[in-house]
Amino acid sequence: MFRILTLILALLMGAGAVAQPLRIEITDGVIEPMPFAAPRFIAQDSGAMELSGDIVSVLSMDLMRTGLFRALDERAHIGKISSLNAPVEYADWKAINAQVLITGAVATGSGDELTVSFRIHDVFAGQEYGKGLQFKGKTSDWRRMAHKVADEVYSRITGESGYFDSRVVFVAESGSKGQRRKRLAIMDYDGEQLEYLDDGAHLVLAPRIAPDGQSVLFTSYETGFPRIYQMDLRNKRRKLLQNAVGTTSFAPRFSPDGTQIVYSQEQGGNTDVFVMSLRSGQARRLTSAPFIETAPSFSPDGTQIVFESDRSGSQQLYVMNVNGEGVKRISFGDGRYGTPVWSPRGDMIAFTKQSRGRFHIGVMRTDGSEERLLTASFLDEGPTWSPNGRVIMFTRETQGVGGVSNLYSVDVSGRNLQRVATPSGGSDPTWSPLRR
Amino acid sequence: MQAGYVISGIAHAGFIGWALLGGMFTPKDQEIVFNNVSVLSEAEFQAMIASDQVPEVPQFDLTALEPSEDTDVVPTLAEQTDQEVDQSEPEQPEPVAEEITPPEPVEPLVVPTPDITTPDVQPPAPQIETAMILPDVSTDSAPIQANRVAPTPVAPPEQLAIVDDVTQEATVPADATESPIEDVPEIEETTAPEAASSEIITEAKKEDAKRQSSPRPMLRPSNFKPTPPTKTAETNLEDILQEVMPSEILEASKAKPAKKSGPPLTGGEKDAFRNQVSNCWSVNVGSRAANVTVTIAMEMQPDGKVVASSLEMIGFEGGSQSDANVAFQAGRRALLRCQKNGYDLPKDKYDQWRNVEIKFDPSEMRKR
Repeated sequence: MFRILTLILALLMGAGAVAQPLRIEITDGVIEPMPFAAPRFIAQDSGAMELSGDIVSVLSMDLMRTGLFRALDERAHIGKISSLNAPVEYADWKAINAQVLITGAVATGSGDELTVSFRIHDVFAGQEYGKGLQFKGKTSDWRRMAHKVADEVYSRITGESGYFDSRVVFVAESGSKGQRRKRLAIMDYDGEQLEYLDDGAHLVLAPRIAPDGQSVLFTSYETGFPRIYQMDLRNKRRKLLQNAVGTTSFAPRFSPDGTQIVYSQEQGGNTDVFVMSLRSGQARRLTSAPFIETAPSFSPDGTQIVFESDRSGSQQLYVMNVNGEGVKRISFGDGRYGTPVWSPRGDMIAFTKQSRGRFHIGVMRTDGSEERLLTASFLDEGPTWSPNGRVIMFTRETQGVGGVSNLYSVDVSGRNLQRVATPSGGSDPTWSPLRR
Repeated sequence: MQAGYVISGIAHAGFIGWALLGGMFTPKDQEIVFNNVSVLSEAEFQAMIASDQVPEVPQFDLTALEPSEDTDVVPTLAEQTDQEVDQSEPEQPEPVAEEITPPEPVEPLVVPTPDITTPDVQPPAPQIETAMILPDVSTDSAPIQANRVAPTPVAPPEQLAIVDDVTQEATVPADATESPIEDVPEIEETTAPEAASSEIITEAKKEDAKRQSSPRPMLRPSNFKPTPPTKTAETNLEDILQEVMPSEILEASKAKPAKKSGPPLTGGEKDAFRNQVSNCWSVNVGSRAANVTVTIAMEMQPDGKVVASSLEMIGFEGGSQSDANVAFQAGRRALLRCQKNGYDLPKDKYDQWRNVEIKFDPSEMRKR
């Protein structure tokens, strides 16, 4: 028995004597865009010659616009892609430090048909990011197909869904500051494919797109008073949602399932938050305090609402249950907080903050912690989240009589601030979900 | 009595084993699947399109392509280039991709890393056991303790100082090697013994370890000769061990312990290695993956290059499995990109860095 015990002990000692690996901890890295190579897609017929370059151009711009990727100049490419299915000489792409390689082929079929096939390669691992994909659609929709390719690339590399095949509804502004014309408009997230939704005869404000992307809520002064309308984006027909006598209503937003809207209604000098069923038209009051309570926004799970209120003496953010109970203040910093919007991820709330004569777009946790200001300018306001909760688009207005409003976007980390290209000025953006 | 030893022995063995092996008894992490990106099947996409009645929304056919063909290396893949639509199973990473294009020995142009000069730190000199000058001792065959120092060894006096009138029986000098101490009669020394040493040797300095045998009576006969264990006994012992010991420990104990030649890496050498990797570790701050701390294990070649196939995520904390996969890919890219011609590590200490575990912790990066 002693021998057994001795042997067990010896075995344990022997096992412990096996060499331990070298252990290193790294806490300091770099924040830099990932270089990728996207050689011109192979045109499989004469009709695809021009499109093959255009598609690569759009998807490259999509990726670079995120600030997370950097396209390598095609003139620096050493490798040649002659066939989508041929083995890739990864060494050629390693040599130019391309971490990702996107290869593809474009073919036009009978009629208006367009086929885009592509593969995504992890150059240094010497393998593909999953299988290749192939999209088929209409030639006229080549831009959407390029966005879809970019979404797939973004998703496979970052692990998060993309946001390139999405649209933005906003208020297009033209004319001088005193005589500004405002029209509802819709465009691709990158400013392309702009389309106006009304003629600009009446003042419109604060459009909010539906979770299915098929309709939009907005506030119009068509009757002389602010009223909430819903427009079907497929046929541009609209209907008045709320017309109670002696009231004004504004700041509407859809519930996550699209069956309700939450909005503000002013009556007798008191503004409260209401919720309305789009099926029955029945409205229900959620707040009743004698203060201005507005800008409500649902949480993605539909159980909570964040809104702004001055019930504490200054404009702050509050969260309540969807039935109006359990109101809790979440903002406590200096200045005034407004226009809160819950992130599609559900983990953060974006807001506008006015402090010491400056406006900021900021984010905080849903309990008010980890507040972080992302921008600062003369006037920044009206944030809206990208479908994946990674980017915030907002309105920035410049100072002075000749000041103009434009749309800007910023990464949730506070990096990559850039102006969104629009033909004219713009304000009040609302970002659609990813298109199907 | 023996039962107590057994219980105590098992308890100690278990404790020592647990302390040495740490998490060896805990289940290993599941195998990590790379690039497991789901792709809509055609059926799903068609169903999605069918629910979309908006006329201006185009309908795209989505088809998953098969892997690139390679008739040279994997002939069977040639059959997969027929554009057959894969609709049934979820996306899996293509394990053959690396086989299709084996890594070429091309020197990649990567982000330059700062020229780090590792301080030439000499390993601590090994302790050399030098010969000790032992104190002079009397060569008397029956050594007697000297409790004080005399300047010079003195010769025994010619005559005893005191001559007792009473005749006593002669006593036999105690023999330490044969006679038990208990048998030695106590003799009250009234004078210093007739010997001296050049140094006082206290009790704590006694070299009892040199004693060849215990002065206590032996519990077994001196003519006892243990019989060598029979083959059957060994077999039984192995069987018993296999029953009582976890298989991992047995295998680890049977495995040839890795030799670690040379001293361990110095702090400077570790820092240099850390800097080489961190220069290529790009963190996507703002992503969910930036909340994940991931630990990657890998094997290194003697030239400092990473064995790409050995890269493995062995743990993560702070996020979901999919987030961890993305974090792992970022770490893997960093390790592969920055190795250039091999990481600059001391070649003579290869056994110290043959196996490496690197923890990528982005918590500080999130604050930037």
